[in-house]
Amino acid sequence: MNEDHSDEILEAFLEEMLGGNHPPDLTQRIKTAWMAENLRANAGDEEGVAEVIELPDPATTRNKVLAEVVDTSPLSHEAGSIASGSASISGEQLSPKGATAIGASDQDAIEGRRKPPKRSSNTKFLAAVAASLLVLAAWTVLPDGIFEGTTAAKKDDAAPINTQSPFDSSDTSPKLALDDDDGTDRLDKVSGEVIDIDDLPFPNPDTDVAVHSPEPPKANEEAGLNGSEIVSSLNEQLDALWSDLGVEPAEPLGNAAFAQKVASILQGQNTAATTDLPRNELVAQAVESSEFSRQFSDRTLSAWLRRSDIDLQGKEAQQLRQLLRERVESSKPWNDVVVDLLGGDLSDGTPSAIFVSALSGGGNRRLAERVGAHFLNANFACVRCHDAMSAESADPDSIATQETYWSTVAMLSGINATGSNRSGQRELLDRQQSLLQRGFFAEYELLDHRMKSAQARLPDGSDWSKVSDSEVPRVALANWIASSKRMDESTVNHLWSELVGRPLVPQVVDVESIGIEPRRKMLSMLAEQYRLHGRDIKDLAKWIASSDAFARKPVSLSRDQWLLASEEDLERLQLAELVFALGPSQRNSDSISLANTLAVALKQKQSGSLSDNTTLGQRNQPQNPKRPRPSRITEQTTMPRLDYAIHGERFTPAQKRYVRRVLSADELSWADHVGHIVRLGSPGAGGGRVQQLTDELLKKHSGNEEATLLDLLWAVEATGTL
Amino acid sequence: MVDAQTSEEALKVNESDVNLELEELVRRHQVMVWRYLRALGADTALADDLTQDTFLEILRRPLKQFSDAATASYLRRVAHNLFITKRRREGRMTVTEHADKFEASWMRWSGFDAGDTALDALNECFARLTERAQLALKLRYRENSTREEIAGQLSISEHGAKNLMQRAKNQLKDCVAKKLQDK
Repeated sequence: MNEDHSDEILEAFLEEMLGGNHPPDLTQRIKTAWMAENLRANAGDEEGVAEVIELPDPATTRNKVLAEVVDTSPLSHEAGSIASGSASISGEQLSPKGATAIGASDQDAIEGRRKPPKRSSNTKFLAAVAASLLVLAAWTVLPDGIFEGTTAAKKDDAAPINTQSPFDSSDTSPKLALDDDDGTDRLDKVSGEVIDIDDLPFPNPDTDVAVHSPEPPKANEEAGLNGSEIVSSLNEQLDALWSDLGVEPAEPLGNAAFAQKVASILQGQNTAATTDLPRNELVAQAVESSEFSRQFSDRTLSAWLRRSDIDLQGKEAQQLRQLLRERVESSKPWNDVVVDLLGGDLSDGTPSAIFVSALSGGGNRRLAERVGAHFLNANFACVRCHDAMSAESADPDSIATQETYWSTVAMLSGINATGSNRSGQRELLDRQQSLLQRGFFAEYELLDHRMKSAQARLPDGSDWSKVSDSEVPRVALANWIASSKRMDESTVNHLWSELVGRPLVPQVVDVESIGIEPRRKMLSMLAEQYRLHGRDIKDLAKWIASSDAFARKPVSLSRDQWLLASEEDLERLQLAELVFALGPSQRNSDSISLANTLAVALKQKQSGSLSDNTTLGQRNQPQNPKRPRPSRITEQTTMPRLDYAIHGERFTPAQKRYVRRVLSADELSWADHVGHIVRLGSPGAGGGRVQQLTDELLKKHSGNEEATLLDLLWAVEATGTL
Repeated sequence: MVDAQTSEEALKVNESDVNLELEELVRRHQVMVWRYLRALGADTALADDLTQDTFLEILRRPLKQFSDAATASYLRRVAHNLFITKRRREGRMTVTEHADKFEASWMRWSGFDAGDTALDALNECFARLTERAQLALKLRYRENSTREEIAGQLSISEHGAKNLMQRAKNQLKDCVAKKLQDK
């Protein structure tokens, strides 16, 4: 028998068997409470909701006794292991089986031991007494909505009597399945069933049609645009974006520089093989090369499995890399990699076993966040605890909600991994088959500390068991993702970030929302074309690498230029880079960690080249054409890293608003505040070193938390995945 | 036209039907819910209260009942949530992260019969313990004796008493597991 929690269960059963703590018959008590509640509701009290009973804590006194009584095995738990100390049971007989076996005298004895529950108000007690006297008259005026399927109850005397029971009478199956069902019938009924509870997150669980269903196969598949048309459309949209924002794009790269960039970004090579070809052929040749498939697969897998329980240099990671490479090289639909990695057979050594084992465990929080970030284009990090705090620039189709996060966790329940892969002892457990009878749920806490239960659902809210042929939710989730627009957009965003330097649309628009609507349209267009072209990652790479965004010159700024540049000049550069009118000032690399990037900001603060006041004061300054940058810049001033020179210490209003909102949450600790910023970025970033550097930065900012978090935000963005 | 007497009779019938359904629901599941709460760590009074709250919660939010198992599962979840909420308000540690494991352990013990079979098995297994082990556990659970008192009664050290009870519980666990597997 599994060791987990068996001990607590044994304790409780021993107390019942030996200590005489038998289950009481609470039927009458429950009935009375229910009637009292109805009567209260009729009287106009708060509808339908009984107040939470503030229970006395008899355990407090008992616990003191328990401390002496209970043995110190790890099995002891706080309050439950207490014998009542009252009437004992003679001999060693079994307890009566079930409440019905408890005779009246036993019940009196049992109930006599218990204190009646203290109600928060004497009024409720009196109401309960009144209810038992007035039950017949009261039954005619039950409030609307108490009983499912009730037509609107009319409260006048002429209204038809509401004969609806609390249980769904429209259901043609027996209201309560009888115990004389054999196991087979019960299992047949149980598998795939839905419990219709209106506190489940999704408003219409009976609906089989998903709100945002994956695109159904079209009878005559619409043909996509050809590659040139796609690139032209993309360039037109970029031009419109730049024009709207008043941004002047940088000059395009020259041929040699372009070829060099193609070789470097697409193939991971330092020198270009040739510069003679037309650009589109150069791009095509590079993308079709094995170097591209290797470069893309390696970087993608590293991003997906960063800080997971797998050795990225080991054989298992190599196996996954090979899988990804083959998929790219063979031009198979890229999205199906999700099925390979998440939805496949979990036997030892399979790709799914390796991938799931690397990320699952500990409640599968990490796995759910990676699924969100890498496959659903949704940052799930913060919505574990609460929904997004701002509606500004909100995406109406966003699935980054607490409900969706927990229903995704529920889809993965039954999967667990323990042990360390690095020592070769990681064990993956899959109990999803055995949980089919019970159903898949996850309990979570709302901000007001109420608990809620999330049923396993696909990210669009549909019931996986009704829309999928998959046996278990994990597989259903993987299959759904593979054919979803979400995965299409996630792939486009990821590849855009790899090639252009930052995502086309940030996953958290609260902090970066410049030109967000046109950018969303570009993302949607590219995702659609990617889907229509069979989800070939190479086609997508060709379009992006052929676009004007890829071909822009990066910023070139010498130290002297930086020193002489006004704030407006630097802000202009910043804006241009944010909307891809300028090549990236810093190429993301696997070697650039958040900690290393944060160290850049810390170094700047330590060198004292710019005062702290400059960080916050500039936006309020009058807009002079050549507003000088401030003070204490001396001949000894060292120019920082280029991306810091442009983006560090000048923050958009959205970024400041976000940081201030995080800081306004008084109940969070400093470490929580830091965590909120860190989790905006790539999953797996952060750690003790980041916290330590942030603390040092706080000292450099003389305790100014806002300035510190803004620097941290810069570092998160600079690592390229915000 | 429905006369007053007929409507009053209909009312009585209706109220009777609903009462029967409520009673049936409670009768079928209250023992399971109560034992589940006790296993979570609720003392008897709290288990009584939260059992009541669990059923009231179900009655407030009508549900489709496809089977006993599904209803039972949902009742346990509601009970679990109520227990966690109570614990959180008291500032005590919660078991949210382990709810899944707890449910799995519970199902292994109690299956679909609220634990009656497990209790039967426990009783049989208890009878197989040595007299000293039985006495130690009886003193512990029936008399609320301290470890010192138990050690005194058995003429052993406190450490010895602790080990004796621990071994006895492990034996009981293994014995019950085997019996439940065989059934």
